[in-house]
Amino acid sequence: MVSFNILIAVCFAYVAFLFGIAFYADRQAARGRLKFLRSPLVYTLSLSIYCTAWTFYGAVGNAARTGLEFVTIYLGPSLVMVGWWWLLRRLVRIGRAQRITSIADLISSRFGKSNLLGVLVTLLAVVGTTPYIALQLQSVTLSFSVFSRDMSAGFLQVDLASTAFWVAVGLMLFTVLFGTRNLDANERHHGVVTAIAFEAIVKLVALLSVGAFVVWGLADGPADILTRMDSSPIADWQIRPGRWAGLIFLSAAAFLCLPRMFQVMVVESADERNLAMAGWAFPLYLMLMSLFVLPIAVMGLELLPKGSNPDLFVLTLPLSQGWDGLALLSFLGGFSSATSMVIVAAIALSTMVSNHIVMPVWVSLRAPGATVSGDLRQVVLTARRVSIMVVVGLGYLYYRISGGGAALASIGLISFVGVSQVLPVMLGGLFWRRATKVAAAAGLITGFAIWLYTLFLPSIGGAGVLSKSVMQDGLFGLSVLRPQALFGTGGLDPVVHAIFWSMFLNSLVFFAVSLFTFPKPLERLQGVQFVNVFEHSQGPRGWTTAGAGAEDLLVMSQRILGAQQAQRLFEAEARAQGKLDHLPDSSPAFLERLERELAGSVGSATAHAMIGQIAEGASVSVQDLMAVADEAAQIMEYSSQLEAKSAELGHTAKQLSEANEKLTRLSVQKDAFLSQISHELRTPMTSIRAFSEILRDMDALTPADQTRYASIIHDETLRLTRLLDDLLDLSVLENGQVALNMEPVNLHEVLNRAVSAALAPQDDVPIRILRNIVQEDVDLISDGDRLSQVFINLISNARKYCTASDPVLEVAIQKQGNDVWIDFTDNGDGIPSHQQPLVFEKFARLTDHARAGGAGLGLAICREIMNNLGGSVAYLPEQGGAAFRVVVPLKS
Amino acid sequence: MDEKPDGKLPEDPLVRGPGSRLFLEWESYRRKRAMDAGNLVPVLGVILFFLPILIASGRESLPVSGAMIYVFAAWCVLIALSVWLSRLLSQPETSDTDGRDDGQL
Repeated sequence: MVSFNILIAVCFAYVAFLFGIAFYADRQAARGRLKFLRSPLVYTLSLSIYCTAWTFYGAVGNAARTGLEFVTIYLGPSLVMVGWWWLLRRLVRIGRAQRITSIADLISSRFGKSNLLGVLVTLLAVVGTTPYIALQLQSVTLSFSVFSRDMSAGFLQVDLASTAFWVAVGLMLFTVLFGTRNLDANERHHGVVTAIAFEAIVKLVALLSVGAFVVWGLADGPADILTRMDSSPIADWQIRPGRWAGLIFLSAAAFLCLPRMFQVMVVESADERNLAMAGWAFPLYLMLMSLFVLPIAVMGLELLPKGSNPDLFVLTLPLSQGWDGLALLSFLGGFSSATSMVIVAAIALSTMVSNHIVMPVWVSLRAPGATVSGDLRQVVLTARRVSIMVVVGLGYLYYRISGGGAALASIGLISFVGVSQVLPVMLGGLFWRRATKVAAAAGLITGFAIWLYTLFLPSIGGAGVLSKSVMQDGLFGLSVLRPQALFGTGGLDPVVHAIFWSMFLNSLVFFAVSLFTFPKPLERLQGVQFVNVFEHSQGPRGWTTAGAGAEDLLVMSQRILGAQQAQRLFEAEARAQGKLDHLPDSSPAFLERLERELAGSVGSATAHAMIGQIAEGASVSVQDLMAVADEAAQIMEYSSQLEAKSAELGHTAKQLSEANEKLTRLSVQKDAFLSQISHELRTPMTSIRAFSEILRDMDALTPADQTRYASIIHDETLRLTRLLDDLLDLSVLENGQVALNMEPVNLHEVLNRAVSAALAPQDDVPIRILRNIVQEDVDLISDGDRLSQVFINLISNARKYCTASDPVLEVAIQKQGNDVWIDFTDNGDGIPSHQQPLVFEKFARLTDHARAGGAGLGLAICREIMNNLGGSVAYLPEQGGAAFRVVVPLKS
Repeated sequence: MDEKPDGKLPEDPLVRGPGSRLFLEWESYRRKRAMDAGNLVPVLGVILFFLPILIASGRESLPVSGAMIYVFAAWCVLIALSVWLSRLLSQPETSDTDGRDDGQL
């Protein structure tokens, strides 16, 4: 017989062992040895907190009462798990991408980070979970009582009610110790999860052992059990279609929505690849857990005295057969089920309560403007610890108030229906972008209210919350509002009735309100992030370990650098790392390089923050993104301004350099001219001096010689005068001081004068001039003398510089609007293009000086004259020879 | 469904280098097929688990032992399918696909 001391000792040893495991796992995690802690096996086993004491003990009781129906609450979760690819993968991916900390956080985050929704879901979860915690305490107490009833002296002194109290205290202690050890940004509790995984094994082994004992120890194997089954009271079982379908649906919904399930499935999930194994391993676990439930129930009904509580068959059956060791193992299994559920539920609820209720209140209570100091972490931890104590304390209180009677046993399903109210909003949020916050709140409140009215309050009806008259005649005497027969649907099982109406009206309100309200921008943004999570967050490609981080980095870099440049950068890095894949490892060196690259686009502070957040696996909040976008937009605007300015500067610089080039050329010309002009001045001066000295000093000069020498002196003087005249003329023209004699003239006459003047000095006429007398008959108002001076210059130039053997100068006239164009085109070589800009400059003489016979001022004078006359003269390139166009206005 | 698992597949055969294009296209096709199956398995599960209702509706009562055998058999089928799918879906998509997975088909 198991004595009280042994039982207590075993309990303490077991708990100490759990502490040890949790402590060891935390130590390993702190040292970075996470491989096993994050393995699919641990993940799968941690999911087993779905199987609480209610299912461990209660399944057999349920089977004894309702036959095969007990299996429905395992079938629902199995369906959810085998469908992991469709739903859970999405949920886990979102949880990771958005750093979701609880189911309340998921709903709140999806609908624009609304704290109202967070509070609603938290309240729903607390109300739904508290009775469930009470249920666990009750089951532990009951299992203690089994041993005490069975015997013996030690137990009698023990107040069994205080057992629940001490269990609650112990659970509080464990949860506070390992659940709020540190404030992990990812909300992962390796110690707790590992301990739960261990407890999952204990549960399974205990139940399988009892099952094997029953099938092969008490009965004669499976065939015998099946025969006994069909002759036992269970054989009267008939499938109730409504309950069968309803409970499968309910358990699937609760599996997704229970705070503790969400905690282990999404929040603690280190890697969505774990789902691939959990997808089949967890259904297998559930199947093994339920495999022997019916046999145990059958044998319990057969062997134990009538009136025994079937909920405790798992314990009492081995005890009655004297298998104390097995009973002890079974006790530990139930103990494990109860404790693991309470621990995780307390962690999940405390996270929700502290994040959505305590912290907002605490922050708003602080004086406005007071800065949040570094002790915030401590505040959060304290809030968590207090929340854990409050949650477990509430459970204990509920247990005491409800009296721990049979009423509690039915609370499991009621609790399921309550937390399942989150399902429509959750699924809507995951798959429907246009779901709105208001609609989510309305749906949740509707579902919650209907659940309270149709199921929760009637379940504690004995306490007098809902009066008999309300139960029988409906609220306000309206029979359509009868709590368990809304709108006259009294034929349904109360639970199915509540599932149907709460889910239906909840979804209806949620969808209808969504259709008539508009989401805020943040809601829409979050909606896109959730619904299109597979496009917005790149998962582990091909489910290999490498590349997840680099992928995120690439997505971000593409947004900043542009797709091509970012991909080039990454490919280059991948090659440098010697990888065949086009994604490099996100080594520190690469991160540094990338940061520098990004800093060029968005500024170093932003780049650092962005890389930092991605490298540490954090997501960027919408506010961060908006701030970054603002910053980037400002930088881009600034840089486009800079670009415009620099283009302007470039243009100016080009002009300057052209001007500089021209100045340099002019300066060279000027130098050349100065030496030329001094030479030109010196040559006649020298000859004048020489011949005047001869005339002065030589007495024996013939008159003929005297005349010759004097005429040389005269000629040279004329040449000097001409040169000085030209310079003077040019200076007058340039300063605009010239007096023009504007009068009606005929172009033909002007040309006649010019041609005869230009060709006069030479006896031989080496150039033919082609003219069109009809065209030339143009009357204009201009200064005839000045005009002819220009023509003379152009004709003389042609005569002097035309290199053709048979030089021809063509003079073509055409009228263009108010102007007359006079083109002088010869058949020579023309002017080389690099010298064309220079021909109108002063002192420009392109070929050898001897032939020119002038000082290079002719064309410069021409240009000044035409400017003064309101016309122009320009060189026409590519006309076969040198071509000049003189433009003269008909009227000045 | 809104889910577009196809969108996240790197379909560009050029990134994996020349010479393996035919094989990889086949590989990604097979993967897509596995995803479709992954979405359908729960539907099959729902049908299997709801079938007892239909079976029972035609008769006076259902023998418990028979129902139990049916439910657990269906459960096992579902688990087996899920094992097979998990192996297909969790295979590395981009790297070292050797003949090993051909054997599984």
